[in-house]
Amino acid sequence: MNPALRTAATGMAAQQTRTDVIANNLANVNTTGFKRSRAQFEDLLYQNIQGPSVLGSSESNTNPAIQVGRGVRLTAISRLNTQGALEQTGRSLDVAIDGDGFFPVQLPTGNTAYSRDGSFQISDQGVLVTSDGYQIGDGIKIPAEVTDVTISATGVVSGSKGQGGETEELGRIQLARFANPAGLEAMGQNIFAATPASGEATTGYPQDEGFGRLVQGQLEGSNVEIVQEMVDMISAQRAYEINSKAVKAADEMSQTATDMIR
Amino acid sequence: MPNPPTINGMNSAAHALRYWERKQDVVANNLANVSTDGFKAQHVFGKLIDGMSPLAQATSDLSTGTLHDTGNPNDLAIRGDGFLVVKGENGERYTRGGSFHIDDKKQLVDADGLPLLGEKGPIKLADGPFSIGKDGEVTQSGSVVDKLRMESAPKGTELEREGNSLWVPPATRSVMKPETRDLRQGVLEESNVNSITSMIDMVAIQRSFSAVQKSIQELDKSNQTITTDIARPL
Repeated sequence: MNPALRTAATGMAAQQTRTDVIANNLANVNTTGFKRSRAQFEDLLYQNIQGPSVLGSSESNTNPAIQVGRGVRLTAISRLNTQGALEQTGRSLDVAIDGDGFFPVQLPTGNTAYSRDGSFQISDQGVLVTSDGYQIGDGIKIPAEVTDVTISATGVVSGSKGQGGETEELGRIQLARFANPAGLEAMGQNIFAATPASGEATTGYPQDEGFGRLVQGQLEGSNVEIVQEMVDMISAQRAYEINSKAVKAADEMSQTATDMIR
Repeated sequence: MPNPPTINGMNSAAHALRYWERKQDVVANNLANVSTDGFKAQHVFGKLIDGMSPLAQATSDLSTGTLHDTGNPNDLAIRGDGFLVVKGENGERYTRGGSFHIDDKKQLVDADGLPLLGEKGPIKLADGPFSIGKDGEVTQSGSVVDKLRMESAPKGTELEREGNSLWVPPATRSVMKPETRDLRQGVLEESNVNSITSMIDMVAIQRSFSAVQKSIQELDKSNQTITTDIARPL
């Protein structure tokens, strides 16, 4: 079988994956704290189809080896952890991280996951939770009678009881950092899990060395740029098309070869 | 004086078919890698052996691909000549750059986890942002961490490709002078495959392939004439 067929097929599969990733980025253009991903490719193994050879007797006639590649493969879908734009919401329980760090959240399984999405709620137990109901950190209790909740840049949550009541500290939000945040595993619902690739979480308070600050009343938007994605989509589509032409050309050549015997 | 080769039309035509097929393989691989960062297109040329049949010869087009800004400090691209060095499983390998990342040991590694090499070995980083200069100097919080190794291949040598965007270094190594280096941080080098010329190549290959096939058919016809008409038993 003509190897060009398979080679071109790997090219088509690669562009398909690239389009999948672009589609997911575009679908999440309004997802709080979403980070865009990018498919990364590498060439496959090369086959030496003709070793180096010496033709005739003269030195100048040496022919280097011919290496023919066998296509392309996906190596990674890497997440770009740049800061998303901060969007004003005015809601007192919306918190954005400006800088490095994730909010640690408690999953029902007891494991800890990490999120950049700071659109918090208060659960029926009076605990600060994410919009999916996962508890933030060790749990910050906000009693029902507390009205004005403020969250400082360093993560201190405080509130006052009734009009003109005294302000008291209710807890402090911690952040987690990773050596390689791109290695975190996306679990959906805007949360990530630590993996061996990301390394262990280092916890600290906002504005500590290396950690970002918290901004109340704002949310971090997605870092997807529509124009960039559109351009990538066009190039993926064209590349897919041209690889399909290579499949067709290889197929027609095989047909021509078989046509030799009538 | 070697004996003149026996000329056999069928045989040279079969050689030619194989040549065009190889050329098609290479074009297909170029097209499959049209979005592989740092990929270098290959070109196949024919070389006549003793004036008889073409032998395929491949060269790599080492021109720099389009550079585009990504804003990701882990992306590295080289403008012009040169390679970065990574520690592969079977010794040192060359790479044109691409998307690197920091692994759990805080080393700068490529997409397959192979560490990028500096003059003091793998690049060990601390927490926080780092910057890489044009000459490969890695600095973090105001102090120099290491300097990335950059080497160049002598002009006209064809480096062996290993796949995974890696190249096998030549036998004689040459370190690039700092003033000739042009490394860019936050930039990726796109594949230098030109899809338009590849399309044209593909059409040409297909047409040439069928032309050779036709000539085989014609040769076959004349052979048939010899066997059926001339050598007809009396």
